Amino acid sequence: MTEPTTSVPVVDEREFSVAARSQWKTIVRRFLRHRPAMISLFVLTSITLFVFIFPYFWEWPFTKRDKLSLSKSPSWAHPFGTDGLGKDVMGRVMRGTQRSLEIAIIASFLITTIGVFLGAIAGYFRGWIDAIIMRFTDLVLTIPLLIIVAVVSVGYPGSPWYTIPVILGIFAWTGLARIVRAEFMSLREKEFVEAARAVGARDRRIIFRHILPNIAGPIIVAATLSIAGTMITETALSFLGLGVLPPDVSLGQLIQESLTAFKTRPWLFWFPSAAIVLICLCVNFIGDGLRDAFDPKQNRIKA
Amino acid sequence: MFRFILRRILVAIPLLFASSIVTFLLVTNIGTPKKIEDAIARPNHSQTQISQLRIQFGIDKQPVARYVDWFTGFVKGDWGQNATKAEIRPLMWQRIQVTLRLLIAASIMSVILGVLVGIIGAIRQYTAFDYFMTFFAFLFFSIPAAVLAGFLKEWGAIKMNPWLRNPSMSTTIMITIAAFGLVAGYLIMRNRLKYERVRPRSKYITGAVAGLGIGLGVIVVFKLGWDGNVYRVRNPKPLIPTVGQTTPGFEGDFLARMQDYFWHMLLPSTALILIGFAGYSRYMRASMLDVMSSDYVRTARAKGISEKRVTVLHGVRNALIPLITIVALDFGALLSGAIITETIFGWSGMGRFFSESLAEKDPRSLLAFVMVTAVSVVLFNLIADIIYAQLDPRIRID
Repeated sequence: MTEPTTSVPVVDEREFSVAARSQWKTIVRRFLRHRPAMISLFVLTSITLFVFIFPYFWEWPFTKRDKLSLSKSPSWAHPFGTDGLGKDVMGRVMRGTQRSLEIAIIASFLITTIGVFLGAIAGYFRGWIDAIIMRFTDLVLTIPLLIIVAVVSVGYPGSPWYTIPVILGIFAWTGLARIVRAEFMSLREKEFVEAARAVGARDRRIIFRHILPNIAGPIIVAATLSIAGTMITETALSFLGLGVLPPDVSLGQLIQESLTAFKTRPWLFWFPSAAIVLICLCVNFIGDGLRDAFDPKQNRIKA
Repeated sequence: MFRFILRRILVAIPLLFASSIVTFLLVTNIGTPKKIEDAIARPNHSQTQISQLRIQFGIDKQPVARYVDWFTGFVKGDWGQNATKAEIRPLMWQRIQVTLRLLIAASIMSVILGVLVGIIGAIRQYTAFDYFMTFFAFLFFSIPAAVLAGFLKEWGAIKMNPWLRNPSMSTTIMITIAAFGLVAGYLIMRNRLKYERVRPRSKYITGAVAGLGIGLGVIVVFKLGWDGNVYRVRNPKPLIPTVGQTTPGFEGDFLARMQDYFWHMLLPSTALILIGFAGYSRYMRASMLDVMSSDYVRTARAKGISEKRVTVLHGVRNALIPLITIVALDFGALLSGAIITETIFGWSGMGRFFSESLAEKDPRSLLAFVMVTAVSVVLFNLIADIIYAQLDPRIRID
């Protein structure tokens, strides 16, 4: 940024006033220039706003049946068609997308929180704390997520929908914990940590104020990608009948219902599939953009 | 090395033990087996029937006694019987073989594809190829297995089979193929000449003509070879099957059996390959980019080693190391079955075993499934570590 040329010469202490770009500004700048990520961000935001706002104006909520048009292909009255009971597919896809997004965000939040917390403690304190946490991680890894979800939904029928993201969150943090632990182990030996300790900073301060900001990049990227990951997992669970159960709707459940009707009523399959693929694609591209933006070795301007 | 392996195994044993306890706690909470539920629902059931069934499923005792019973049996190799009174262990072994057949083929193919695409993507970074493959990788990352498998089943088989039985090519498609060849030939030549100082027009024309020639060649081969209802004569049944891992009751010589395997495997493995390829190509690309910007590659270049040698001997070999460990880990995790793909294509592998056991709420089968999965995860974790330590001299194990 240069000073505007005015008639009165600006007397400055320096010859040019060039503001130093802070690290975060550089990252934001790099991200904003990542074209696929920006397009994805726009698409994802539009989809999210649409599925959360438009249902209030749409005459067919996901449970309402249009008994005069059963299994109708897409038309003006029902842009995504109707299913065998005359329920409007657009209404159902919007509701399903809401649910799937909610599940993904709750699970992703839990995964990130637990993963970062345990990984940070294990990597920072090392020793027996590390040993216990890592053995615990190994244990969680050996128990398939599927059996846990299965036990809850078969053994305790009628659990509310948010049990699924909570279980996903509680049992899928192992990968992130390992990443965070590895980063902490290398960063805790760095001079700036030693300096912080020398001036008397406590462990908590060192962990949260000194080390964590330095690994914000990998964490943010992993958190973003876990949103897509959980949506895919939710589809798999719903496919096995272990996900969100009717009368509630999720994208996975819609896909599972439509697979048998693929041949005769393909629109039942295409619209929820398109929604989930589009959302995951956007999330993945955003994650890629973030990764590029946080990469210190990255000096490419254009994406 | 031996001590390292020994120590890891010694750590794994209590881990698996703990895992078995957690699993047992989970499985005991899954509810009454379906058979008992059904029996209770029958109006004329007798108490002795129920208690007999409870003994059959081994749920007649207190949890601790049940755990001890099950665990000692499991370690000795007596895994008990499932809901239909079949021995679980041989059944499981049969299912594992089916899953392995699918998994090995799919893993090999997806690793080869992923590695090749990853390498080219890295050394030709930010070219059209790289962007194209990045997009594809992200696309297959974003497709749930159910959607991909469902799509392949419908479009790769059900819609494809009538065509395969009576293959024909419309004029539009012929023109499209020829035009595609022409354009592709031109573009490839333009890309090759990008950094040349002299770019004679004749070379562009040669490229375009060669592309057109290949396109026309494809059409001619198709017209001569396929466009005569060859398959209808030879193959009365649908060529690409959509259900099962073999034709039931299929008899034939080795070659015919292999053909039968191949066609049954085609679609489910395609689904797994595409999903696996997406991940591996991204890993390989990132790892290759990392290696190619490392100091030892710069040193190799500075010594005047040809770029080809640098790429293959110094680059690819080192970039493969992290990938191999990821492949090993994936393989261990996948052994529990590509449940979705198996279900959609009607394979009776591990995935089917799980969903059947779950439907029956059969505790012993579920426990066996989880334990086999846990062992495979632990085992392949160990294998990944060993491979990593063997391949990378910078890693020392103590």
